Amino acid sequence: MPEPLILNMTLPAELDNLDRFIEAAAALARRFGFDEAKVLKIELALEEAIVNIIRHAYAGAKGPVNLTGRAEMDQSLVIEISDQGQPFNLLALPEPDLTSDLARRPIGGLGVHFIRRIADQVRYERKSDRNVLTLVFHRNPLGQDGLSE
Amino acid sequence: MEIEVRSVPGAAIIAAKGRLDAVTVTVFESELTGLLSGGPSRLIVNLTDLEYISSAGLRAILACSKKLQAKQGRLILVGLRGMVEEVFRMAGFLELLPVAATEAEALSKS
Repeated sequence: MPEPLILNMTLPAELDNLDRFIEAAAALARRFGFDEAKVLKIELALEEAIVNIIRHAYAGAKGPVNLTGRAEMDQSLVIEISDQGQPFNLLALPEPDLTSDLARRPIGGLGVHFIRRIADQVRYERKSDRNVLTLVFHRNPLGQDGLSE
Repeated sequence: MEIEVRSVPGAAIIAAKGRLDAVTVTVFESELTGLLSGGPSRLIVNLTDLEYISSAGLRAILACSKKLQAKQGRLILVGLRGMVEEVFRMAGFLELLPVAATEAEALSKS
């Protein structure tokens, strides 16, 4: 019998655990049937989300990150990343400046931009004491692989 | 990630192989800092063998470009392809930084 398309793992919010989260999500995305190009983009979205949790939601404090993944109706891969840090809605951050010249271009803010561009749907919720970020990746996205303007 | 650093007349070259992420960026950044201290007018960042990059790597490259520009130098990207090229495009960096297909082309850019 094939392994069910389900992932559920919890590890401390530390950069040392980044690889384990990414590898688990990438394996799930491959089993779901995404090609390597898509898997790498999902890895990117996940890295940016987890790094934001470590830097902003926990901001130096310790705590867990829970990562879950599941296939929905065989059409979408739904990945949920949650933490118990301070309320932090990365979707409330302003869009980064992508046009000013080198001297004026701010350093930072790109992570959230990548998440928005790569995932077909992004949702943030504060559920009791948790931040919950839900990323949805469609098997057959409208537009160009979630990268359309 | 593996990093190779070389010097040729008129330029310093750094080549990164593998994955440049929030963890491996610390090594990449310290190599960049070392190269900058040599005061090169041209720094070629060869990413031909890079499989993956995240915002952490872009931040390091942007910071380095700014420092070089302030000293009338420039950072030139070489070998962008696949996911790495797409990330640079999404970030708007393809219009921001000079890009060359090969190191030879980067060296010939004035």
